[in-house]
Amino acid sequence: MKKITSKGIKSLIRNNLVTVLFLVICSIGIPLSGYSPSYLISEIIVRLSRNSFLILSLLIPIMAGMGLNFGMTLGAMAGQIGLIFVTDWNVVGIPAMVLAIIISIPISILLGQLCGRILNKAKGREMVTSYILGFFMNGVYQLIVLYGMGSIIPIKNTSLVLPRGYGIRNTVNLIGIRRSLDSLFNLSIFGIKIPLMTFIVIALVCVFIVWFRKTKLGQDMRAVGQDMEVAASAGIQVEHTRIVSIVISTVVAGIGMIIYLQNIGTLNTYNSHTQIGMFSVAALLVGGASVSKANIGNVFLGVILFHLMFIVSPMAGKNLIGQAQLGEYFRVFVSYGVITMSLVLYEMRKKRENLANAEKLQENQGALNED
Amino acid sequence: MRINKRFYIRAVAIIVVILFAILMAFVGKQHTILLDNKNIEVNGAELKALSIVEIQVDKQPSLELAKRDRDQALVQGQTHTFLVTYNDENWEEIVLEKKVKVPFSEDMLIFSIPAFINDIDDVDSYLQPFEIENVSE
Repeated sequence: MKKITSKGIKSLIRNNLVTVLFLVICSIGIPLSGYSPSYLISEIIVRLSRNSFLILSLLIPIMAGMGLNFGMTLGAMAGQIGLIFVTDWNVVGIPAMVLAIIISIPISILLGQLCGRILNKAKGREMVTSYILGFFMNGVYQLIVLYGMGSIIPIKNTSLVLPRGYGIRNTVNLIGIRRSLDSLFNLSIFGIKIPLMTFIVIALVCVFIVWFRKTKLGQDMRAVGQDMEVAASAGIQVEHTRIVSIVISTVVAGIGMIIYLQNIGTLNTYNSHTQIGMFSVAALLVGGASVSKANIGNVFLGVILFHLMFIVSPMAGKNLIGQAQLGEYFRVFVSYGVITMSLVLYEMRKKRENLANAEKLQENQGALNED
Repeated sequence: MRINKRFYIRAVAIIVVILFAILMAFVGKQHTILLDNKNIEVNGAELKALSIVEIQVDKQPSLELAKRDRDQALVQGQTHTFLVTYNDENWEEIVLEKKVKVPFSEDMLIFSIPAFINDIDDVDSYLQPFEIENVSE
């Protein structure tokens, strides 16, 4: 049996500092909030079904060494466009979701291609580039939705269009597809509702990711992620592989956004997608992932811990100092803080590894010289 | 452009997806059907509203309408079954059932119960498109 040493514990904590920090925050916040365990569990289940699909979209670009894909907002925009169309056409239920997915996929592929090509020109700075690209595409999205829809793109549903005759309203009621996937096949355990069908869909994506890692393309992505030059010399089309990883991520993010919004039931036309990238990345990092390494377990652990903090912090803030607003500030502060901290820790770890490698190399060279 | 087996497979896949999308649109299209029990004029003849009538659309809960009542049913898909139950002047219960196809492009339709009872086969007389007029000051 492996011996547990203080050194081992220290390295475990050091390697999972963000997760440990969140465990501490949650363990303090839960008793302060005063929420019952059954309430917390049911809320966590809702959040798991709502967010997991979106966060899973981040795994493949990490595998290809492209870091955290903030460009997933592009996919989210595609999903929202699909939802606007199905709402306009008055299509409801599961067929509406499927139709929205079918509409979003070509848009996601197009945006993913664009994103992938740009990221290939910014190797080594993928994260900041994709983050800024998200802002840029948000402008294009707003131009299309605010000025194009209703004028160039026909929208006949008057409840969707602004009173001036073109442009989509700030809020779109998704009553036609609200909880259509979640309520398709429900399970109730001790009064806690479990949206089984949504979890089956999430499980299918997990299976797809596990299977994809074993395929030729998946192996190529891993090789590209480890070392682009070595991969290129082995005959792998590095740039193409990177584009494919971003395209897959964008498509999955688009579908994830549709699942996310069917759970919420309302589309905030100009804001829903803007924060989704940051919150998804933060949740994945909280789950113990890093810029270069992430797995399915990180996704679920991240959603549980990150959203547990989301649930308890307003009430904990209210009980602590009498203001729920503190919790709201805390959420945003922690989301950005987690990303910053993870990036700093990742860089520190990389530097430490490089230093250790250099020392080893020097030692080896010294030994060779002595011989 | 090089046309090979892969091109054909991709073309067929795209066509299948488009057809599937069209199918989804037909299956998921929602219509609002206003169930109307008011006097109506059909081909110059005035048809009187029933004093009390029960109507069921598809498997939805049945609705009871008095004279001059109007209710609505939200239906999904293109073909719907209307089941109307009423008593005639001899207090005998009469049940009428009809499967009706709804035009895809219409979001809202009005279903006139007196016209339906008058001639169950003349769909155009009892199921008509309905548009909400925008009232501006």
